[in-house]
Amino acid sequence: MSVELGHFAAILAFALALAQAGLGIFAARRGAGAQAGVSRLAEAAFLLVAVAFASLAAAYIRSDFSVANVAANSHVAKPLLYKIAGTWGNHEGSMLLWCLIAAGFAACAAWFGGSMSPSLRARAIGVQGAVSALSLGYMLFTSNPFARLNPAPGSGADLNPLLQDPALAFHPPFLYLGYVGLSFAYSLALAGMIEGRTDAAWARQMRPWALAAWIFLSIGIGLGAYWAYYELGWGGWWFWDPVENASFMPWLAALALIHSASAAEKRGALAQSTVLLAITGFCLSILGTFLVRSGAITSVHAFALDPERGLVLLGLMAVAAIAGFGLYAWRSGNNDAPPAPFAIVSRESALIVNNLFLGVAAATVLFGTIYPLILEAVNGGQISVGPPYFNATFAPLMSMAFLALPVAPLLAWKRAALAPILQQLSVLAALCLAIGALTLAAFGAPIWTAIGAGLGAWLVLGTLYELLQRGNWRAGPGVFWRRLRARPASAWGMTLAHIGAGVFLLGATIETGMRLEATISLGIGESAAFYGRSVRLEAVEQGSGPNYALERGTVTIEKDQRVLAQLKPERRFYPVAGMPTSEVGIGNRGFSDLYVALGEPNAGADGVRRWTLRVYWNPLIDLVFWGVGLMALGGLVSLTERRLRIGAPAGRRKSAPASAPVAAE
Amino acid sequence: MGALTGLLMGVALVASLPDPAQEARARNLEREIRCVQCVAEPIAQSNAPIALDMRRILRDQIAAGASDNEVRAFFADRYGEGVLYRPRLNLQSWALWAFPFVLLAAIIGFLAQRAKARAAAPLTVEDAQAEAALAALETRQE
Repeated sequence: MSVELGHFAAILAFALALAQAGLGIFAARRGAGAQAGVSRLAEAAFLLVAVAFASLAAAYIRSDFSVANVAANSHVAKPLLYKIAGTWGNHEGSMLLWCLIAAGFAACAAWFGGSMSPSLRARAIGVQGAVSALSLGYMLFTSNPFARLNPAPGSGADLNPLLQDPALAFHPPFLYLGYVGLSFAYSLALAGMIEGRTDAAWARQMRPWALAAWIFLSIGIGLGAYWAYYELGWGGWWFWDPVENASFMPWLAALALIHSASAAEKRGALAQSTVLLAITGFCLSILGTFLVRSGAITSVHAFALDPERGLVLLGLMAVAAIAGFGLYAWRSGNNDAPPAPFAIVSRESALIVNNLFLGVAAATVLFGTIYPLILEAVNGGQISVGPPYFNATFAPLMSMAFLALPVAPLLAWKRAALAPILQQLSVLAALCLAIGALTLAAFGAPIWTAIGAGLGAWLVLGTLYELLQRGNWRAGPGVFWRRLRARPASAWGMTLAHIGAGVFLLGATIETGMRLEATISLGIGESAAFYGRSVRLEAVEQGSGPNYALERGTVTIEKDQRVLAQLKPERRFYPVAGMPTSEVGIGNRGFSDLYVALGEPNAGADGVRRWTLRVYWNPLIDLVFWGVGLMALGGLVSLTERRLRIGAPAGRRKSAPASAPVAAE
Repeated sequence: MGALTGLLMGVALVASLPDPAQEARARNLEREIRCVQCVAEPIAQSNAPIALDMRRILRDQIAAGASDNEVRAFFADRYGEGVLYRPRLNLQSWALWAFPFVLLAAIIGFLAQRAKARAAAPLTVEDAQAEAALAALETRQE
């Protein structure tokens, strides 16, 4: 399949997406014919973008270097997985992936959106068509991945070697599924506003899509963090780098969105903030893509840079924001569903508190990330905003949210009493204080590590307490078991995700606060002490992989003559790209890791060749990744909720009470 | 634990400070100071020659009795404010540090205002409908 066919398919898809947008937005009430037409257009556009994507992927697999994009990013010697991953490992190809997913979400709404009211579905698919059309237009006019080279070069320039890694091969697709998934939440928000119905039935439709986007973002960010941990060789997994922040902001917005939507769905409250969060989330997704792609901000992870095309992305974000917030300003008074009243102490209020802290946290990350840009534009000042700033601002904000978290699920909707709940939780709170104090006293941890450990325990134990309480455990195991079996999937999902947050917090704070590290330089056969352990470099061998040369060390770590781990850290060199990378050696012990990265060799003053080794002890590091996994799993479990899949017959339920007064007369 | 990285035969690239408390401070500061030659890395993470030099200078400063803020000032004077990942509070950065607190306070103020307005008008929509129905009934009876 030639890329010209793909190019043609993409142009055709662009035209169909425009038609889908026009028909969906303006003719949604013109009856079943127009509504079905919108769905068929969405399906056709998706198939065409899929053809375009397949044609580019095929060019990568064939190593067709007459395609400029393939020549710039691939190489014959590259393993097949990375040839395929190369399709989205560059600017143009990743935009094609973005378009594929945008069209895919519209098609999914056409296939699985049967529980929506037909006109809401048609409008949502219509707005999504506009998103697809803008993305396809951006790709076709500024970032064409199908351009040919004449004469074709005999060889390619290879994919950035850092990206040639299993976790990172799948990191961009998940991240994009999340980013673009938020585009469908955006489409639903706009469709709801056009309909003038952002009510409980609408929020019920919003929740699964927002949840799916959030799950994808969680997996994508988790993969990225895990990759940074074992590939970059710094012993860390999160650096508050602008590119990381770019993916983290939409994640925070999506998190607030799913909480907000659950209140809107169950109680008809927080509908306005659900709309605003859906719009904000998608705008942050585009902004994130802009930050990554434009090189406006220096980052170690910026892989494909182009300031001019970046500016166009910023323009697209402006279009999405103006359309979204403009419609909100114009239509929000038109909502025919009155907001449901609730008292100040209630589950609704707790969810507002959650949104408050998540929102301020996301805004802080955004402001800190772009502040150097703003300052430079204002008065040419040069400052760097790094981890110390984010730790000093983000951590306290989230701590306050975490403090409130175990209380929230115990509160009743609409009107609740706080005192008895606090009384119930007081024993637990004392226990968590003790855990924090123990961390401080027994392990000599820094104070904020102790706070983090106490809070992590608070989240896990508080969430488990809620489970006991819901099961009415005092009434005996029979009742408990029956109650838990009747517990809806979405509640189980919440429990899992909240435990995941606690597990993550425990791992993150203990690993960051109590990590041990040393940079040492060893010749073969030499050893050095590392916090009561000994590190010996046994051997260093040379070798080669499919498309790289390598140097592999054998490092033995012992304690009291007992071998704790034998690690084989590697240093790789990719001749085509002319870049070195590292593969660290990790020895897992419980949830903690011994971690060694092999550096460059130097000839010392005594003429002995010595290798620089970075050695780390990362306590409870695995809890970080388990925590992210549990959060994503919680999302998945929540997504299996029967109510979400089938969808309540919203229209009929609404009309029932309305007809009652008529009958009474 | 607690024992420092003593070296048997290997050579440390940057010798640790003999005082564990000083070495711990040095490691914290290493993560706050940007390597001036690298794209976006603290000197703790970089293997660039200048990062090694900066790590050595940092330890010399601490050994000479400089406080954390004096060390920060030392590097900022030589390489500019951009070398610090924790921007010092000054005219350039006050907005950055104030932002989260001002935003939080502003939103809490807004929410409190709205809650107060709602409390002042306890009439919910249901109440209003009920009252309207009652009024209509009374008019009809008259």
